[in-house]
Amino acid sequence: MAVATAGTDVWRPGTDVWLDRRRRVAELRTRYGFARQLLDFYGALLPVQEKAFIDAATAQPPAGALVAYAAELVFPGVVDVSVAAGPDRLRVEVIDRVAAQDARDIVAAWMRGEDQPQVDRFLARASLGPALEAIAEARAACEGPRDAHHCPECGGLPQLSFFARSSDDLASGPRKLLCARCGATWGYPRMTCAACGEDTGARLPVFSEHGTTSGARGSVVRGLPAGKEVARPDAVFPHMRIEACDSCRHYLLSVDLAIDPAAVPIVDELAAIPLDLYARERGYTKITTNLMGF
Amino acid sequence: MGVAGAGAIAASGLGFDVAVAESTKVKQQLRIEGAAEAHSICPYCAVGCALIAYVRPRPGGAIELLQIEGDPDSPVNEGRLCPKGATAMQLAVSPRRVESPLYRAPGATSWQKISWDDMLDRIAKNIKASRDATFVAVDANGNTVNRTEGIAFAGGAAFSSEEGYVATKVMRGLGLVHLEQQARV
Repeated sequence: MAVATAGTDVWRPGTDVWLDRRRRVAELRTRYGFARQLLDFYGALLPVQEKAFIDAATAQPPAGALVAYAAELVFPGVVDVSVAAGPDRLRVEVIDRVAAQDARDIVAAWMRGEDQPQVDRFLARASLGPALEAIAEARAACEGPRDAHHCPECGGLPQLSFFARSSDDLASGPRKLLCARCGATWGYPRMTCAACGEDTGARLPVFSEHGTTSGARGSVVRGLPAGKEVARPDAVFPHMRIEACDSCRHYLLSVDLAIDPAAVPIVDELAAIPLDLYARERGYTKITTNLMGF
Repeated sequence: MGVAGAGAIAASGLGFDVAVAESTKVKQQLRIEGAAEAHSICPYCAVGCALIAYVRPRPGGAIELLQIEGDPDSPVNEGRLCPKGATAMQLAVSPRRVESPLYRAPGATSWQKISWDDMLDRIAKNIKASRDATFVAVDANGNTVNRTEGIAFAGGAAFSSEEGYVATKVMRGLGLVHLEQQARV
């Protein structure tokens, strides 16, 4: 039996991350009718991003030229799809911003981590993200701290947390964080706030739907069915939870791949708008908003 | 863009008003509950596997235990548990727990409930009778040994150190030689 050692990346996306993302968008737009507007737009954006990823991996632009590369070659495609398939407000604002500001400035400001209007952040992130995913040197050239709370590759903030698939059906996998900027993942201890490092259990509430922990389902052993028939409510997000911190009042969403092995964290997180609304209602702020601004 | 506009955008992402309206309806129907996680250690054997316990405070100050599972961050067990440890939840919470002493008389085919006092009295009497019958003060070679050969004692695997200490003291005090611990079996 393969024994997972510290640092081993147990979770591996399919051979093609873009195929995985497209598949998951198709699955979730059926399952989560409430998020269809967002998922359809993300689904329209994915081919643009995938092409940008493949082109960047082939062209390997130097890190210093990455802003210009993304602004000239990817940005126009993101603008086109936003205008063609985006919600009304995005459409209007994108047209405004493109007329008012140079694409390079928008992308460069995001690279520097500056405060930006949400529409700028979307345009820059959607344009530059695929290239950062594709080129390791570009990630290394990004500004930002390289500490436990930031991506070791690019210094970005964590977008979400996920429990990796485990090599053992009965054990949950190690916790990982996924970078909002470059999509890299890194290991992070459970029961520790990803924003401030708080590790007192009582200050780290976890919010999930009723009946989604094994114990609540009537099973004492993770992965095994309940021993007796218990009321089993159909949870909307059986594999997701809100991990909040009462010290810094931040939260992020967490995806458990042991519960739903077909989940693609980056897509599932985008679709879980009701959980974001719930967390926000309780006064928590996401560590950093996702691509679609939630 | 005015302040009001900025607020509206923050509430609906990049203008996904339809998705937010639909998601708000879904959110109102979700039965979301808060829980907390706590570190623990498996009580059974000396390996000391790390556990995560999911707990939920209940009105009135009670804590409800929801789930216990292996801690993937532990270098000892990396999230895994043996079949016994994996059911540690049942040590704390089990609908099948027997909550009062049961007695089955010699030759009887069924159990009957008895009180804790009756049970303790009966055990004390049996211990005294067995000890009196099998106590060896001097062995065959004339050595003073003062031992009770007719009783053996087996400790439970979930014993705490203190319980183990008390059990050993009491049993040695009775002259027992055969002490065993289930965690060693």
